[in-house]
Amino acid sequence: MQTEESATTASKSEFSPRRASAISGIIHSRRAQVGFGIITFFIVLAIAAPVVAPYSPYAFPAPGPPYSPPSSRFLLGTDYVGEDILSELIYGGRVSITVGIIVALLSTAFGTFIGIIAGYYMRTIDEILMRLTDIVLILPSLPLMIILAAYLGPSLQTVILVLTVTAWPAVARVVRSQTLSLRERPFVDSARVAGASDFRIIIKVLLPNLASIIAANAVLITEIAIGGEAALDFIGLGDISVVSWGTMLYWAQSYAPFNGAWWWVIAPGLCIVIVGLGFVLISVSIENVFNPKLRST
Amino acid sequence: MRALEQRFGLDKPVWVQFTLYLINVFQWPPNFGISYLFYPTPVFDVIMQSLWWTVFLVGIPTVITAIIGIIVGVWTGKHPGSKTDTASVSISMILWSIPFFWLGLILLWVFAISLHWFPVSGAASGGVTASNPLQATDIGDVLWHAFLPMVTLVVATYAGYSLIMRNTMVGELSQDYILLARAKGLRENAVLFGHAARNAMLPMITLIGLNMGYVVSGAILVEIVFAYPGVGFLTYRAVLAHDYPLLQGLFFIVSVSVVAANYIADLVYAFLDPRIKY
Amino acid sequence: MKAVDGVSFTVNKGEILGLAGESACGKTTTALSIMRLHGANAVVEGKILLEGRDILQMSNEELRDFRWKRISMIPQGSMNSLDPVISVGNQITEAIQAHENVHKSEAWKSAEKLLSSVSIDPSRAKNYPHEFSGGMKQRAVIAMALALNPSLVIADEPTTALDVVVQKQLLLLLKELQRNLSISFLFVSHDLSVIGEIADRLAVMYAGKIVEIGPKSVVLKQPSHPYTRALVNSVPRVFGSRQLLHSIPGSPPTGIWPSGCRFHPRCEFAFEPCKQKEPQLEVSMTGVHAACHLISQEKETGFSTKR
Repeated sequence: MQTEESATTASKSEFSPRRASAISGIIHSRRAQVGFGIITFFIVLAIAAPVVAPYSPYAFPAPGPPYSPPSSRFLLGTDYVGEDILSELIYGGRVSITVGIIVALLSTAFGTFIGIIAGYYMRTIDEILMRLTDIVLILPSLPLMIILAAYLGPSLQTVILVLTVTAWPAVARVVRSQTLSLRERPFVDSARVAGASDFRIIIKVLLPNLASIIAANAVLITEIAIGGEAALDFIGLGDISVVSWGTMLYWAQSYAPFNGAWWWVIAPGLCIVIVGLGFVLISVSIENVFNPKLRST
Repeated sequence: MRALEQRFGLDKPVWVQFTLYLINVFQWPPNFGISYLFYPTPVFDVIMQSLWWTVFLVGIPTVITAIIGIIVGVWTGKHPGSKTDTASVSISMILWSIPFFWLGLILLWVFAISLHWFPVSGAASGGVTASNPLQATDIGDVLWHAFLPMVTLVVATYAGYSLIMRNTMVGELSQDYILLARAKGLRENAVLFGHAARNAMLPMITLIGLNMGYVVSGAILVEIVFAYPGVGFLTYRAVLAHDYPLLQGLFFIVSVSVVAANYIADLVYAFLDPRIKY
Repeated sequence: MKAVDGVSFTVNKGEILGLAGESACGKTTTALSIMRLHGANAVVEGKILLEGRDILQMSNEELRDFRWKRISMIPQGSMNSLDPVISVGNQITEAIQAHENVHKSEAWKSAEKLLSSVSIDPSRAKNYPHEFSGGMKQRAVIAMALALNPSLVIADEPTTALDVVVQKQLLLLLKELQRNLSISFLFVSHDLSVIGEIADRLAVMYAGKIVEIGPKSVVLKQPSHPYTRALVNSVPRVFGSRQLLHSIPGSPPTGIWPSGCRFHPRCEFAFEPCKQKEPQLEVSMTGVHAACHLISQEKETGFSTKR
């Protein structure tokens, strides 16, 4: 719903000066700045994991006693084996964020591809592609992911694949409707009259104009994917030998409550919330630039 | 082994299995096969025992969040950019980012495990005997068990409704008919609710339908956390036990339900909007 | 920045006062301000008196009660002024019941009567706005405006979106209402020919100020202000000999007003004082009020430069 609105209003940014001011509008909004700040912080942390994390989350034997509360040695306490939770968090962030980004890239690429083809060629191709898209779109995402993952077996690749499968239809829909409206614009016609091939038109003309809407969607998908990865891990469909925020919660669910290890539950969840918030801030500020009436700050 | 394979039809070629499956499904009562986990109970019966609990668990919070979301959306849509509005939107954004199951886990821990105010799991004390929450002997007990999971669902789904309602209200309040409504000397509430909200509700209905998939996904997670005997928890158990017939049946029924909910939302929309003939 | 500056006029009982001017001259702002329906960021100063009561001094509740009872409006773009999800009849009864303690069935009967008074079949009251044609919607809004027998109705560009035939019908209807119910109208429009047909008195606005105001025939046939004259000349004549179309060079100012007389950059008669001093309204040779430096000059010399 939010991305559909952006689709219709984002079409205004076809000319460079407008787009430049839109981008500057985004960059200068306090919301976006906070959002970017949060995301950057976590990405830097993830990249610098080996340097920043005090221990390795897979250390054997485990560095500390199990279920020990936060202390100067273990800033966020330890888990049921004795691994340092802060380290788990930092390394786990790598996995969670990477999964989010990969899913966003894959689903955006595939969704954009389908959306452009459908929107540009219209008629039968559009019909067929959109039927296919709608079928996947209408199915509730978690049940779909569960059943696919159940057949594919629990692993990181399964998680990525399954998240991508549920994410691409929304992108395809939005890109298709934007393409439909863009293809009627004069500059597309003039490109066609000048003899440009379809391929050229798509790459050189349509894609740049779709860039903003694609970017907005990609941001949203990253956020949803991170949450989705956590959910799938939580159920046990991810690779539970890998440390990620989701698998931390998987283990924590069974062991933490009855051992009083509240820090184990709070920490990964809080990270998901904060990172998610960062992405939400960015995507909301993108929307506010294109639809100024909604401005809240 | 062979006997089991034959029993489950696994010895036939795949496409035959698939066609037989479809034929079995599209009859009444649908035949989804026999559950591995609950052998020899048919899948359909297993699902039916849990389905109504999920409907109960999902239905009430949906109604509550829709109402709260609408009211908050109306009040904040009046003055976009005000302090109240900014605060409300910020809260919504934070709530939106909270994972369903994490919230459920925390609530469970604090209120059930630590404080013992609420039961730790299940839908009714002493296990579930009724397949339909309305048939349960002690409604109070059922509600007591359902309270925490429902609160989780309400908090987690609230944000979407309130934000969309707010944005729609902002759009409606700038329309011409609002000016005339004020000129007529109507009270502010009549203008807000009788006119603006009435128009803004229409896209909300579509939204509720579209959101059903999301809410159901959340319900699955919440059921797992609270071990609530609905289809979500059933799915979890089916996954653990590799009970494929049960999983397929669950997926089918859940998907059909969500699609049906969407369709109903469309019908309600057509009914409420006088501009549409249905 | 003042969209409307020092505007003052009177609408007499049972008369139609036309308010003419180009877009962005402040006429809609003036009209909306009378009922205090201007935007939240606008400030209104001065006095607005209706039958002795100052509207600007009223509390919110008094204002709410007062609206529609003594003064109502037909807004610009009435086509969009009806709520699409509520029946026309209910929108009228809503107006009635907000001010009078009557039963719904009574209010509904009044609504039906009102609709028939504007030549709409009363059985259509239960229909929704989208089931009405443009002209019908306009008339429905008029019916609604009359619901509580107001003394003054503000009509903001009521004919703009309509075709000429419907326009004519509408004007006849308004004249009839004026006659039968002795309602006063403030008729705002940029279309001089329409105002010419219906108004009794006419006020011409330019750049937030009234530049001429007086009886319609005098103002239109013998304009005292150069702007009025230019406006009148720019209306093409259907009968008579063919002429070149006149238009006023330049465009109306927005945001920054020119110094002195606001019309001077576009005025063909501008002379020295026009750049320096803003002219005030005074009685001209024809007996109307106009704000132009030429007037004092004419009165002195007894000679008019404007033909």
